[in-house]
Amino acid sequence: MSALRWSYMDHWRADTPRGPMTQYGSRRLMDDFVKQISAVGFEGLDMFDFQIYGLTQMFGSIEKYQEYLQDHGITKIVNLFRGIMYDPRVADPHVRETHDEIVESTRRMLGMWEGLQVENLIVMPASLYADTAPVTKDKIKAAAECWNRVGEASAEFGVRTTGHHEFFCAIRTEEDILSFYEWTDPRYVSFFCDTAQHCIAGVDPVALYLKLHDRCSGFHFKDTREVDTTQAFASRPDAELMAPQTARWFYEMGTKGGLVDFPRLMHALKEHEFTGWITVEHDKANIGGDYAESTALSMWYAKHVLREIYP
Amino acid sequence: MNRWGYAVNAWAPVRREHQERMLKVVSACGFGHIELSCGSGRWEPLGRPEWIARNHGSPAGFLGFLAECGIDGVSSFYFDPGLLTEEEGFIPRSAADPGDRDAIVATAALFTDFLADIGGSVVVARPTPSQWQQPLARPGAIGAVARCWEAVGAYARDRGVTLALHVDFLSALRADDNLDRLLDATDPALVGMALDTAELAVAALDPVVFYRQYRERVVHVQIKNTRQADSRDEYALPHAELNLLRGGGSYGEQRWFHDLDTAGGLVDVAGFLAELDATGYDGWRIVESDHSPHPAETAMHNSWFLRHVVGVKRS
Repeated sequence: MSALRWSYMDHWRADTPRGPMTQYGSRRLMDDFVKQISAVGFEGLDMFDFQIYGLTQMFGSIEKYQEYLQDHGITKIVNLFRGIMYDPRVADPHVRETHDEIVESTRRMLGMWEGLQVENLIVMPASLYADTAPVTKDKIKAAAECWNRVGEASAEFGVRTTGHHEFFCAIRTEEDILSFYEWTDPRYVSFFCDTAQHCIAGVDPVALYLKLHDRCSGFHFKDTREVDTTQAFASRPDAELMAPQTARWFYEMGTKGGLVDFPRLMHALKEHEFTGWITVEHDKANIGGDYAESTALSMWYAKHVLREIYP
Repeated sequence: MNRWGYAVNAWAPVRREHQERMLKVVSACGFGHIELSCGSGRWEPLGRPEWIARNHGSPAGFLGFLAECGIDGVSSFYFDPGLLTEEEGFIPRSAADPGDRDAIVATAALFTDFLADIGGSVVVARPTPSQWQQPLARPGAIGAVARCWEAVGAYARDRGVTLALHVDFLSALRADDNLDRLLDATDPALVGMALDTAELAVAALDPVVFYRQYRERVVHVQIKNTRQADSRDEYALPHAELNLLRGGGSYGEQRWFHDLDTAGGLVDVAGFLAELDATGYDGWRIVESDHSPHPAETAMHNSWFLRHVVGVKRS
């Protein structure tokens, strides 16, 4: 029995006769999607929490959707990514007055997913850098307070709250990330290591994992070919798709010129006996590529390179 | 243990990294062997043994490249002597023409030698030009075709390779009783048949019925699906490659071949595979993405179907 299982983080788009569409567009597209990720060996699925609305329409309930996944070879929905549009007037982790809304909206959302055994609720722990700057200790402490409360609430649902640090997020440097975990309660807030995001931010994801391995509850395994050398993280209105430095930050594992040292990371996971789900992601793969091919290539790399290190 | 492979004829990789991506997709889908198809020139670097050697150094070098991509080997190579290639001086050849025999045997030997060197086992050949060209109209044409392929088969047998003639839906062997006549005229020890499920279905033939009828001669199987039969025999009309295969004929088909579990598919793939199992068929089972605009997606769909619907174990 392998110590690791592989889950797929959904950003899927497929070319269709009416142009690019997601699998939420029709049952046929959903069938295509699920069969493809299952075919190459994924057993779990990660998604954005708000997809529950469309899935409930399509399948009747989220439980029925998970049964459908199981019928097609996907064991469970593993992790949810919290979709919140941060706004300092309504919901923003560094604004203490908005914490009640963040906690309560998260509680409402998790209530809708209560019938499943979701493992992690993945959150971006602070707003965009550009909307938060200057990043101060107090703002990080405010965010820590926010996620401690959210984590305590999510624990009631059996779900861990875990921080995922986008390169354009306000808590992005190694020093700030470590401070954030120092100021959060390990019972309620875990660390979710996104390999490419840290790399782009100039943080070594392996070194970061080694420092936070006892807090780490999961991974997004994806690669990048670029470190942000132009302060793209601070750019408005968007750093992810509109940065002048590159149109595409993210690539699948095994890409030529990839900066993430996955073999070294796998050795670290083995050393610290990490067990459970690893999530593969290749966000924006459709920019100069396609999701199906990137998905197969990622799993090829997992099976042929990474499993050799840590089965 | 059944032998599964994937035909990579729907991809058109030129650069080495594109070849890598293709092979890794096939590997990730659980297929350990590939079937190559003949091509021409440096733009089709996997289309001829000469170009494979120039790109990968040697058969051993190519095997090493495949291994790096998680592929164990090459099952088979598809060869069409009628294909216009710069290596053959852009001369299309026909086995029905005795004057073409030596050249066809010589070219087939290139593919055969390559397969022998690399551990492959089947050279799959297009036996005649298309029906609209009337290659079998001349008296004695069937005999000429038989002698040509027996010569190829004999050479292949000596190298430990099997010859399988592939009857596609444009083939002159689809017409009248040409196929039976050719099989009667050839030595089964030298000339076998490749059964292609979708090609037969487009030709309005049931692959299971066909397999039962010709089981003793079927040494190679290619598996894909289709939604439309050529029920109006448009294969016999002029320029069928252009007007029917690529143009879709009066049926308006933009692509003839589809995923194994395509809605409205004419081939009962699971039923056909059950028939192979029941009769102890032990040749290659080659799956294809042929005509797919997204060969990787089709390979993934096909892999899922085989594993979850048919119950094929992953390699």
